[in-house]
Amino acid sequence: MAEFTAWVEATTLSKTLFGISWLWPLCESLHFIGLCMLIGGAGLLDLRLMGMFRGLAIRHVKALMPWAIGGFAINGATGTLFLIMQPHLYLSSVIWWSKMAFIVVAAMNALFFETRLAIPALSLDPEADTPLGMKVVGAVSLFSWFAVLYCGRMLPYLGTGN
Amino acid sequence: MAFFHSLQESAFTDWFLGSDSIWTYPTVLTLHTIGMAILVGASFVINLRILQVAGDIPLRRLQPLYRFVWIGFAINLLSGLVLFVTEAADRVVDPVFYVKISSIAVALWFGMAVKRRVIDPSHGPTAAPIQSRSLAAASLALWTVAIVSGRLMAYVKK
Amino acid sequence: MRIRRVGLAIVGVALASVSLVAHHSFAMFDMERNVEYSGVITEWKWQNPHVHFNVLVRPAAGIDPKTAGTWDVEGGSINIMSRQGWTRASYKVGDPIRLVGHPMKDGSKGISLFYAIRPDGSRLYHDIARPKDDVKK
Repeated sequence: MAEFTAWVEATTLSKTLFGISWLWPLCESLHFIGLCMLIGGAGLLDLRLMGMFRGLAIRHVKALMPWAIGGFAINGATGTLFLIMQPHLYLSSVIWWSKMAFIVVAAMNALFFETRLAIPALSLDPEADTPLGMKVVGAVSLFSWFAVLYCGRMLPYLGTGN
Repeated sequence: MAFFHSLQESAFTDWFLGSDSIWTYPTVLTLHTIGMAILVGASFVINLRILQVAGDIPLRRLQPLYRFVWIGFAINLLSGLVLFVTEAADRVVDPVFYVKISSIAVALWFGMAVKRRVIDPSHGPTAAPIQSRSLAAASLALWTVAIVSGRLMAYVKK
Repeated sequence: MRIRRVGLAIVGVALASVSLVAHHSFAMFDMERNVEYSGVITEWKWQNPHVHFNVLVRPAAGIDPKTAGTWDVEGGSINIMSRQGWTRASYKVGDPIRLVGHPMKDGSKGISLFYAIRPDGSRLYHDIARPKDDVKK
């Protein structure tokens, strides 16, 4: 891993990008904006699935998904740029790999919802309580995204390596 | 000014930033990020819906989201105050800090204006009129400015 | 609230923020250069989010004149530096120090800490990054 990291940081692409002084701060700002879009949109759906906002039809909440996905895409792009510019901050870090693991959990959970629970969710009576399965899916999603946030923010403190 | 220096050089600041309790600063910083996600996340949802680019949620159904706006704001007001104390003298003369705080204040004000106009009324419209859409658009811009200036503050430090 | 006032408010705020970003230069360290500095600690701040200390390098025989002056050395969080062996008591004002770091590209007297060199020759790294010839297999 150390050799791969050194190799990446020696590439022209890595050096050029990291040499653009405003790029890193810009990516950080976009990364924060993306996470607000993601947690805002996905968070509302998760809370709805957990039984809050009763009376609000789930098909209305799903209209926010493109924005949540857009936020995720912004963060995937800016995250990739961070990786290219300074891989040594991430690739040896247990915390960073934990962050990636939580993203995978959240994504798999979302996929499970889309393929197995979306149809019953959309036909649910908005005034009815949500079934346990949906509550669990919502809770797992909400927890995972906040765990991603936590790992990301704590990276300069919990450890970039060792 | 001497007051702000006394805050920045206080025993509390020394303890918070530098003592063996190494988790004080990162914990408060992470709480500040969590508060931001809740506050701005809820505000983004409200404003995107008002601008009619996020589906047809009946406007009055957005009302409970304001609870999260205030929860997020409370978390960030408290964590923000703590962080401010430790940098009081530097921040009180930092223009970026004032841009951040004023953006937040105006964005919250616009958010409450939107609530009064189109979300609270029990027989409110299904589509927000132009004034509310303008307020919503302005709020989105202001939250963006708040986030960018907040991040910029880390680079402007002495 | 008239639309025009709202529009002006947005434009005004946007211009203010853009000018602030443009006004502030994100001064950069030259991460390609490793320079050794030998001097005395004149200020020591063991704190989050970044450890900072000032080093006064006096001109002398054997000292590269380009390293002379008072430098602001920036490290990482106390959490990360502790893990590399640093403590609050590692150095104090008045202590001699030898360190290797990356100076500012624009020539201003700032250094990004790479590692300090202890009297016995061993190294106190800022973080996990190691010199290329030190890459662990």
